[in-house]
Amino acid sequence: MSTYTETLKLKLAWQAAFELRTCPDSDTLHVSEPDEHLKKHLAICHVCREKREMNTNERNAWKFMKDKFADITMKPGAGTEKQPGQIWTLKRELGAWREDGRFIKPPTVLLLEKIEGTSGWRVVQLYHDRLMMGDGDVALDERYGFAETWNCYSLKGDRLDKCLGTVKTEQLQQVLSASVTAFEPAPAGSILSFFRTMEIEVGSFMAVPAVAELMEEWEGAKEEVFELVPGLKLALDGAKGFVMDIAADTLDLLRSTFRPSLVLRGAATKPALPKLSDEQKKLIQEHCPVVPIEVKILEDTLMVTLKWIIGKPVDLPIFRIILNGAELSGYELNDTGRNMVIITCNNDLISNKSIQNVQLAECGKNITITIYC
Amino acid sequence: MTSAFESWVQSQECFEILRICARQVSIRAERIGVVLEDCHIAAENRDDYLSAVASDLWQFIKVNAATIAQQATTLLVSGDEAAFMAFISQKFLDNCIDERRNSNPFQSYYRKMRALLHKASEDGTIRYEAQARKGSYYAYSNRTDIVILPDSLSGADYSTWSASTIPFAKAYDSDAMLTLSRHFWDESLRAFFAEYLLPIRELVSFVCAKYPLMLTVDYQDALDDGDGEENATINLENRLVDTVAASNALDDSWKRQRPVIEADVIDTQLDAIACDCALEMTDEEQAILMQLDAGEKLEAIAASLGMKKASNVSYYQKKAYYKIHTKWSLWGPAEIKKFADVDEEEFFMFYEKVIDFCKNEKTCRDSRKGTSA
Repeated sequence: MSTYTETLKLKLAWQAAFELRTCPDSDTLHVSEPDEHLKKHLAICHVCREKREMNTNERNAWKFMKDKFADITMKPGAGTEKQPGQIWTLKRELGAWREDGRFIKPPTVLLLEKIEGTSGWRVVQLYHDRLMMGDGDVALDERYGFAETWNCYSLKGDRLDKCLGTVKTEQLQQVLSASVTAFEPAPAGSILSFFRTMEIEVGSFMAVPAVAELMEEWEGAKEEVFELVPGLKLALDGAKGFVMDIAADTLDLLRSTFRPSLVLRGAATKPALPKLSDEQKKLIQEHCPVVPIEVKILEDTLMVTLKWIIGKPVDLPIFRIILNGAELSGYELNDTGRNMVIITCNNDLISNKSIQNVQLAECGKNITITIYC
Repeated sequence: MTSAFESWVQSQECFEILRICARQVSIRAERIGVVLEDCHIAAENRDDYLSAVASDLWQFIKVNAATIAQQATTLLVSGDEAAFMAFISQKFLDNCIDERRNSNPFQSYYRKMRALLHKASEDGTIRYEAQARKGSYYAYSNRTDIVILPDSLSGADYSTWSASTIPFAKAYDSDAMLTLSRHFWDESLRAFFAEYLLPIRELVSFVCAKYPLMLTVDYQDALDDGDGEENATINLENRLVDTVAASNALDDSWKRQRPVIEADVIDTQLDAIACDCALEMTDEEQAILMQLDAGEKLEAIAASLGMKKASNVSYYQKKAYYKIHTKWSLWGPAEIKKFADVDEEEFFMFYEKVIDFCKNEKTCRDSRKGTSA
């Protein structure tokens, strides 16, 4: 961004994105008697307060104009067989209120691949306005905007609603390739980083219930995976009654919607196999849904905050903290009850100022975190 | 695009529809500080103003219909007119921003001046006051009965007022700007024989009458592609002096800038947005923000809220800050390059307001009554 004008336009695009993703649609907004959700939303959203002040004449004018433009835009296909590379809308019913007073509307997605053994699809979320593109995004046809390759997740096939068309094979390849490439994250505090966090939240809102359901389709391999990743069972138990207020916490959840799909992808082939392959085990271990979100030293304590991507925190001390190759003991594990566990230990245990990193070992999986003492 | 659509665009019906739609578009323009038409028309005759906006909107649609239909495909398929309204308003305003100018030096200078006066008011030497939907004011006076400068005294011909001794090269220095504010105050006493809360806009108009701010900052922005050259302003001034082109350009710059002096969100909606933000906070987040503001330590806050550790407080604190930053990223004025201190001070104004509303949540909630029904 080099000029004030560009910054202003980006801000305008961000305002529109926030409204399009987190404000209720017209039918939900313009009810005569707002329910508790809508009341909460109106208390925190001046855009919707203004929209509710529109009279019928004004609403009809916008509807009329929208219909005129709908007449000249492409029409979605009906009864299309699902194929990788297709652009699909999601069912309108997936839009729902979140606890925080936001109404999450279903996005459009690009089908990447079918998840073998389930009715699920691995998808990438799309956004129409290219002004919001950054590193890791792949531009598609103007009608579809761009693919957020950092925002892939799994969905059940019956969540898909209308097919809008198909991207070129090379574009699909480009998206697939970018989805496994590490890109520079958007600078902290930038409009792009706020936008991406919101997009991840939208994706999580769509994906998490689907992950739990897909897991149910996949019965045979469950226990073995749970042995590998104890946190996963508890996490998935929590996912069924999932309340989406956790994804707003941290950008470390950026990958949260991507990881479950990989877990499933690895796990889904299990019913046909006597044992999970090494590669599948590796996938599961690498993408365990427990992430450290913060390591810091506060006065005399080292604090490591862990978070479950989905579901409830475990109350068992299943972690081993390894300092300079030796296991740390004498720490306290504190369950905050909000999908978060804080491990606290006395500073005496880490008095060696040469410590450069702490490892959290979970059932053979080491998460390395660098701390600066 | 079909001929039926083209015929509709040419019809009186289309213009009438757009005239109705113009109200929402103008609200959205005001929100980001873009005045679509001459502000005198806007103030004097709302109907004429909306007709003028509708005329611009019509022109925009006529030229860009095909692109709009393409880019809005996913939104049009969703069938939600509110989504289409958000999209078309954004694209229209983008276009307006492009067509107008590359920067608004008056507004940049105004924001810097406002931030400085707000900061200076903290030690009590200056009185600073912001009034929703009116603007920001200052006075070098402690009188409690002081009133805002009446409209009849605003907009004086400041070229006839005596100039300050501050050289142009220093016009952007913080100390010099405060000196200019004092000079304008003293001159206002001489001119009006009374103390008034002076609109900061009048102060900046005075500065513009005395220094060629418009031309030089325009040039600075045009030159700037990220690195910035500190001396660009002065160099241009030296280069263009005594040339016909310079005086014509300056005249033109004045003509272009004067009618579109914008009011940004700080002058118009700071209270409303801060109140929205305060209401978005959970009870814990509000309590923590207030106690942090009162200088309490994390440990003490944890104890008062029945939390085990200071780290639990940090968790909520982080969430609260994230909400404040997200809100400001959406609705705060776009950043001005080279004026990071201004952005910081403006954010602080917002932050202070949010804390005030957390302390007076009842006032905040009461202000929302009647908006939800």
